[in-house]
Amino acid sequence: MSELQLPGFVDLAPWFGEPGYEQSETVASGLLSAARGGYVLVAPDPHTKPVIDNDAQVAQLLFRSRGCACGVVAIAAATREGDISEMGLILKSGARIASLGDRLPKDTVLLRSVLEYAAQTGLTIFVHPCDPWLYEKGVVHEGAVAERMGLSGIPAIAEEIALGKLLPLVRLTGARVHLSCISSERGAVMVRDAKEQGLNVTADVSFRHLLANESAIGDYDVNQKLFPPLRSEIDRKALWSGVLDGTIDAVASNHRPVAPEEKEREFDRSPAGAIGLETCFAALWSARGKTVPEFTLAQASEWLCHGPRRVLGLPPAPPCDEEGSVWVEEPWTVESLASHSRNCPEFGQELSVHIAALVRGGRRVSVP
Amino acid sequence: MSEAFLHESGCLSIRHLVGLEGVPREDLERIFATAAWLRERLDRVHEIPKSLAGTTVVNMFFENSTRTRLSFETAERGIGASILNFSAAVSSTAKGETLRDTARNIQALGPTVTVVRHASAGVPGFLTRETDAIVLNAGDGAHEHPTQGLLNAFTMMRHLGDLAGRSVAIIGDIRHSRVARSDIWCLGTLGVKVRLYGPTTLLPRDPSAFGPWVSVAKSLDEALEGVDAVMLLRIQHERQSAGLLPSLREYRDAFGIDELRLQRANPGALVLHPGPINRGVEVSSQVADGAQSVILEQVRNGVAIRMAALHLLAGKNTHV
Repeated sequence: MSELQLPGFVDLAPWFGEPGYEQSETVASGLLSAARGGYVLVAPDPHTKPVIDNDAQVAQLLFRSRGCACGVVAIAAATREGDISEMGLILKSGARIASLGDRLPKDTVLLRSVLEYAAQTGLTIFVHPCDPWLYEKGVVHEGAVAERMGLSGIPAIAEEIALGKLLPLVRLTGARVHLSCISSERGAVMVRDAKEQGLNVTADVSFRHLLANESAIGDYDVNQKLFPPLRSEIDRKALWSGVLDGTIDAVASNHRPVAPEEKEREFDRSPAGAIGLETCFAALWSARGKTVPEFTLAQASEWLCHGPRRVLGLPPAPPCDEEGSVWVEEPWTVESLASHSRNCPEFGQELSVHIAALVRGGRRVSVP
Repeated sequence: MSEAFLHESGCLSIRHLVGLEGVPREDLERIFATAAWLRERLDRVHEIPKSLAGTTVVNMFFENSTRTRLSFETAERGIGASILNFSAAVSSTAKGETLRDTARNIQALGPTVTVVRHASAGVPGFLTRETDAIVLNAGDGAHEHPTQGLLNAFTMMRHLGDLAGRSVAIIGDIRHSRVARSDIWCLGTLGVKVRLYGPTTLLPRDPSAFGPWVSVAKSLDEALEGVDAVMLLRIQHERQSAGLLPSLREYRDAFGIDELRLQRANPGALVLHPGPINRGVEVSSQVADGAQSVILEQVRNGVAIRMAALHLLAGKNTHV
């Protein structure tokens, strides 16, 4: 059994249900999941209920995360009730990121104002670039699988159109923008072009979009119903190219817990999402050389630790013998999970590596 | 089509009838042969063996449907089944019960067969995993309506014989049509070339997803040229309010089938429609009521097909 040592992972915008959806996940259970997945820091998505869109809510989040197994970098929502949120006060309360969530605002004037204000305030804007109109009725990728299964699709062009709208505004305003969960070939190309033009953008991809394509939906498997949706094999290969050539800065878990009673229902009514904090690295490493290209531990460290740290504006990671995780290459069946939810495509599967210990302050400690 | 024959139940390779995609040709032929045997006896129901006597069929209709449910009920009674009817509007679903809980509660009543219609694609497959009953899909979202696909092909075969090498046009809102998808799979297995036509906003975005036997015509004339059958789909009024169609008037003008347009098809080409018809929209009254129309025959054939499917999947005593 060989041992793998990795630095502490950092995840960009996993979603914890607290406040509002505690039956799906709490801050505590989410951070425990993160620790078990080798993460030392996460920046949780603020679109809870109520939305974390002001300094008091940010403080509340940071309070909730105290003493938990993994640290938190706070993100607040970039808008509040249709206006720009109080970004200056949010920054003072400890958040460094403002999120527009999983689609562009319908109002282009608002979008521009958010970017202008964020550029002045110094907050990075996180957004998944999706056209809000083309997103509304779709449940899967608009392609061959959707056609055969009679499901309405979210076309890849929804991402292209959103980037076409967003990137010129980034150029105009000088805002720093992180593009979450790029899912398409054209998306990867446009990110590459934007970087070559010197725009201040970074991007991540969800590990599931590297592992699978639209055919993973199989016989209406709700655990493979994700947002953004799993797209075509052409898109998946383009995302890998983007990860390997550095166009895409980070690999994210896109952790989206959904309580079983909500998830296990009619496919089109089931909320999209899968949990992934505990299985992200293990699933990717297990697939190496099989369904995904070969990659090294150094590359994995870049995608899961160093890249996300740069996106968040954090200092470089400590060496992995000071802070990180230790993994053992032996078969592991995914059974007990820290998450309150069970919407995990890897559940019941055998992966080839599992976490054996955490490294904190130079010492190995047991996994919580 | 092979001769009419009442095949033994259990002779199909499939346990459920969730869709026609991937159903082997041999299974289709057994269903057709059995349906043909039953069709001859629909007016002499006492001659039909009650192969579902002592078994319970639950008709779980989460979507309103009069004609399909009546057709299934007629078929179920014809082969001796006991029937339980579940209608979502007056059921616990309206009170917020989840689909899984509904399925489990129905399962507790011990039905042998569940006939299910639901607005969401994939529900019949869900029920095959959640219950022990044999599941027949009576229409799930825009996915499939397998017995409709079967009765459409069966109707054509009764007039045209072996369908291999024939051409059929499907005209209308194909994108949202479970009937069209079942037709495409069934006809493909039978060796038919299928031409699709309709407003671009209502056509499949990726017709290659189905297979090489499917093509999209560039005009109504091209769609109809030399076909042996024209299958029309109902235009739903809500497509107009969703911004997919300018008006029904426009649809009639550009896509409606009347006697003049029908002449493009082969002489005697059949006209099919799953009903209910929008007279004067997708089809003129003259064509709907004309000599080439087999619309009413489809209804009759539907009872035979559904009886055949129930018998072959769930029947017990098959000796005549």
